Amino acid sequence: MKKKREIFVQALGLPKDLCLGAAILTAVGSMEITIENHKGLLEYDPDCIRILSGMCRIRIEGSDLSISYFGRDSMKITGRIQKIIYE
Amino acid sequence: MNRSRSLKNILTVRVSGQDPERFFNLCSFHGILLEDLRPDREGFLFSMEAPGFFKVRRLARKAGVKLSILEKRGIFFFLRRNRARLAFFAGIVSCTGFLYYSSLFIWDIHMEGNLKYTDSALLSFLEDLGYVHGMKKSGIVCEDLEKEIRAAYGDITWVSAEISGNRLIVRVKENQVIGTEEEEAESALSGDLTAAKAGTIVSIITRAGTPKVHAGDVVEAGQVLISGTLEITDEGGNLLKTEEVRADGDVTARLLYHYEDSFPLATPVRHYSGEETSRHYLWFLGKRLYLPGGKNRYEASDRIDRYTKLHLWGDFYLPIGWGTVTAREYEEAFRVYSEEEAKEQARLRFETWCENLSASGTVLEDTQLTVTVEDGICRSTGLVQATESIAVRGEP
Repeated sequence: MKKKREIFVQALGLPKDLCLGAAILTAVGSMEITIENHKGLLEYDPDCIRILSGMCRIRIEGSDLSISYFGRDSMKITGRIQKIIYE
Repeated sequence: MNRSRSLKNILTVRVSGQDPERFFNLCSFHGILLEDLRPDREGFLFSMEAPGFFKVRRLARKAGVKLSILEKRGIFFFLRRNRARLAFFAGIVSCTGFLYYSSLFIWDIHMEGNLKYTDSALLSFLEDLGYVHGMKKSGIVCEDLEKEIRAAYGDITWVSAEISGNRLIVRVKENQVIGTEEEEAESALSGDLTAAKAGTIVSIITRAGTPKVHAGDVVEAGQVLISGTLEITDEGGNLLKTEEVRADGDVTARLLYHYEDSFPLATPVRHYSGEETSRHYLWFLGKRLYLPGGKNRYEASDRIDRYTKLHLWGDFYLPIGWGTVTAREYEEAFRVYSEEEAKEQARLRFETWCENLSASGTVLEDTQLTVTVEDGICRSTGLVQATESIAVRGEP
């Protein structure tokens, strides 16, 4: 069902963040990442942050990770980011 | 952002418990922005705006976490911490109020460009019109003030009044050649420029009208120098028509001034005893408050008044100042000049007269002075050759 929805949105050229709840990640180098359209925080450690988005879970690994701000729709993570994994 | 944050009331909160992530998500869901979220050895630290804390407390209970406030920053907390120093803040507020209130008034009237009329004469005139120290700025209409001065002083040809900060600055220009305003009014009817004094023309520049004299001509007082009648002729020199214009130009003439002066050899002089007394005063809201002591008990004395008005910057004057009135005791006595001293005195008086003449725009070329002392009187006669502008608007 989910796959069909993705195909439908893809075919019509609709914005995926609105229709599928996909998160928008904006990375600035390896020290800052802004995540929009998130659905919540799953886990927070200085070395790993896991975030829930509409389509999948996002795992950010690194060191000295901190959250500059955590709002309803967006958040910003700073620190030394090494990996961004979509689970 | 830093400045706006420093004005906001910010709390630094520690969250500890089993499931802080759930608490963060609840905050996010309820639209509460958490900033600077970082791990701590006992949990997590974050910053938030103080008004949202009551809402957050309810969410913490729901998530089963414990909140503890570590730091409070912002103007509200600053005032709360310093509520024992209420008088200090009241002083700041009242001082600001006083500065604002005093900025609504004029505390200094400054005159510029006046040579003939002294500051005190013009200030006294303004006082009669109601323009005094301590009056409200909103009560001043600069255009009216300018008109009043121009109407009262005919030889002040240009006046500019300006309010700058707490100062009323009046700039004037005095006319040293053309006479009173009545003459100016008449000039609209009269087109000729005539000689104010007898002399020999040195130069003549005509801007409008017909020149009637040339350089080198000897003119009498009242003689027409530039006529307002413009004669229009054809190529053969025949007069076609005449037009009346307002003559304009500069006419400089060389003329001779006769100087006469006399004074008795025995003249009253002041012998200062060296005794003096100073009386200090404070100037506040236009009133003088004399401090005790230093009263003037001398029979004859002159007074020197020195004062300072406090101003914070530029033209922002405060209604506060201080000053000292110094009285110097003297005795009136007659001094008899020797012949040499009298001649020296006569020379000094002549020099002062020449300086006054120069200040009125006259260029001195040659001076001669003869001083005689006879029957206890020093008489001096002199001749001064000078050049000056002599053109004045003639009678209609």
